[in-house]
Amino acid sequence: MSAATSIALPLVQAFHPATFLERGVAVAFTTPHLAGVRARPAERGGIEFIVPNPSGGRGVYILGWQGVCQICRPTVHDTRLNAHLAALPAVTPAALRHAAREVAGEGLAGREAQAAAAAGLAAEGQDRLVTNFLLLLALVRQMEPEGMGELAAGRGSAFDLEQRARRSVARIAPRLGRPAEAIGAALEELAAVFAGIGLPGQAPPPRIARLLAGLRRLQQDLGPWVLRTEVEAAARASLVAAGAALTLTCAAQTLSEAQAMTADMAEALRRWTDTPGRVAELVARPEWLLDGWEPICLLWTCAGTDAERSAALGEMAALVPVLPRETSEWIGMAVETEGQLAYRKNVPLNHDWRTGTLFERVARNEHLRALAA
Amino acid sequence: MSGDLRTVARALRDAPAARVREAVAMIDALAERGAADALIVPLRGRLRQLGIPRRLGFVRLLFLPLDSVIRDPAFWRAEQAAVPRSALAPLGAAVQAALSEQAGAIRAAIAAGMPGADLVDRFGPPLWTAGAEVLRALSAAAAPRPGWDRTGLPTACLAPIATACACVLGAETALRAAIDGPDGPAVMARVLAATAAAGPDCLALLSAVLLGRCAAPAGPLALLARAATAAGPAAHAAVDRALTAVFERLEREAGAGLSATAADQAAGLLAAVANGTSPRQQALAQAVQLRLDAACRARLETELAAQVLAPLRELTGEAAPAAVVALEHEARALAGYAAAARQLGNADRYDRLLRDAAAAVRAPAGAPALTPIDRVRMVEILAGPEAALALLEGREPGAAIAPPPRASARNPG
Repeated sequence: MSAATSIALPLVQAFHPATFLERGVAVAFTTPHLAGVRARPAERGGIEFIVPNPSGGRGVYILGWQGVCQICRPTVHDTRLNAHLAALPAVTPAALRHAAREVAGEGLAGREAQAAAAAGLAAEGQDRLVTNFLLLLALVRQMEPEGMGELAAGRGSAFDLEQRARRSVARIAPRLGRPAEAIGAALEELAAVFAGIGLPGQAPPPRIARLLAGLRRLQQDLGPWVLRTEVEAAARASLVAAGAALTLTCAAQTLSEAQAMTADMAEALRRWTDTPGRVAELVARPEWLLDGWEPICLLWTCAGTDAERSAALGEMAALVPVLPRETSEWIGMAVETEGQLAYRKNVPLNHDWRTGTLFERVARNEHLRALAA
Repeated sequence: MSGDLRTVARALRDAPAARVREAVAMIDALAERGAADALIVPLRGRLRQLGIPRRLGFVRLLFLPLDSVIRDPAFWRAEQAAVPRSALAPLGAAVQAALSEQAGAIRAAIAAGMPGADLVDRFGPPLWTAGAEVLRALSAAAAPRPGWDRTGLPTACLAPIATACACVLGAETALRAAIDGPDGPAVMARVLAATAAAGPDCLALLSAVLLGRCAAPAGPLALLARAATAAGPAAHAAVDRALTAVFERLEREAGAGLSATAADQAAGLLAAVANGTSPRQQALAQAVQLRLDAACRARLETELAAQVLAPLRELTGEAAPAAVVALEHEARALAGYAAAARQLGNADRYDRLLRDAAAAVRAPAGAPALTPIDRVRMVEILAGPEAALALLEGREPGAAIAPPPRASARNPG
């Protein structure tokens, strides 16, 4: 083995993060032993990983990449992904998603994930375009409300809209003390920031709306499972459903707050000009809240039979993200964030590699990567 | 079997896994399988090896707990801890007739397309318990059963076979709880004691079922020895018969190629017997282990060559994504198989076979249609991430990790 063998593992730690950054961001690793691993900035620079206790017990290890290599043999995809993560200027769900997409785009998670990465990139571009258009439309609607009904109903011409847009931007520019071109650029920047959450009712739904819909479906699907007579399956379903419900409430609220900014485009543009970091932080909140839920939803979706769903529930319960205490500040009310670490994986030690399951799990994880791209 | 069917059967025997899967699904979906059923017979070993599930019907669901001890009637002997396949149809028909309401619900669920695993979960336990009662009554009545004459078995075999099957079916629910539950050893000890009291044939069949199924057979083996000691010398002989039957099955399956799960189970069982107290069983286990190891290595070598290396060499031009995915799937299955089979001994020989295959893939002529990244992935599957990373970074295995790629210019906020 490599020099990593000389590194002693640190002690297992309890995991009760105060902030979302401390909780870290879910990493789309394909190595089965790295399920549920999160990344966050290390105190001394670089990145550290929060690794669920591999023994299946409570607590986590906080490890650098060498430590991770000591507890498993990461796939080439994961080694490359780690290298990309180490080069990131900021650890956010969006940054990790882009890094994961870049590595998948190289083909290291297979052809399916490679094609999905390209499709994901195109879809994101499409979301940005639609959002840009809707932001402009919102601005026009607020600046020149007269006759907007016709435009919104699609009866106005593109030329008419363009003229109105020009006039709206020209009218708002002096109010913000910026030239008209700068307003156009600011709108495009805002569109990039809002692309994930979009505007209320946006169609096709942007990424966050899709994730929320998926999580809502999962919560509904789990309803009958919570009432099952099999105690363990019911307990796991209950844990996942409760986590999903709490996350849905928090994410929906932060989403509404972020989208509410567009109700006053002049103010939104002013805030974006004065404090872009603050605006980006508010808009990113739903994604931080939903981070880690997509693979859980996909595990459920991919389970075709009740027996598979029952097995998937064990894995899903172990992956439920812990909400940090910062959640209460974000949504302005007390949130129960303890008691979410009740379940860990339940695979007999070494059973997976002895039966060759490990190889199938890598393939399964690559498939999930493709579905999540 | 007609000449046409024989030709199809021969073609299927050597067909790629995907083709076999399609053919079996098609045959299983037929309302009346008739002569097409004969196509399945020579494929049974391969289906197990490939892990291809069969569609459940009433009789298959009823006798599912006995799956590992069902034998081709041509090779079945009365002293074996096994059940001849031909006996299942008349016994199953008797149970179906006696449990008409339950059977109707099961048939309706099957017709509605309920997945096999859900059928087992929902209908299995009550069916096995009730089926055991019917078979016991059948055995006690000792009357000839309609259709028994088509089994090719003497009428005298009906009662002992029905009794032994009833024993296993009746114990199934408790056995499942014992294997998975917290009070496993205590529950299993009770089940074994009761079965030993029912007679050596029952104990032999249940032991064979148990030993063929347990992922960790050391505990059950010790419990069996204890139950046999309490029951007397005939019970000891019954456990020996069970072990012999399990080993025979493993060797027979090894001929067609053990599945990864079966290789893992075999390794566990052989280790448990080798660490046991019976010198006769130890000697038997040692000989079986050598033969299984040789068979598994031969299968790995053959399959690597036929299912991975030859198709890779023959793939030319720009490889279609589906072809690459299918080859990766084959390679992954074989790497998983090697991981399980290496426990049978000579682990380094399995590793060498995989390393040699990876070396062949690395050579340009070995896989002319693969992209460099496809090649890296194939090497990763066969020889592990270290070898693949070395190939990706253009260095030899064992060198230091190269620096990370360029910093990402993006900061999506």
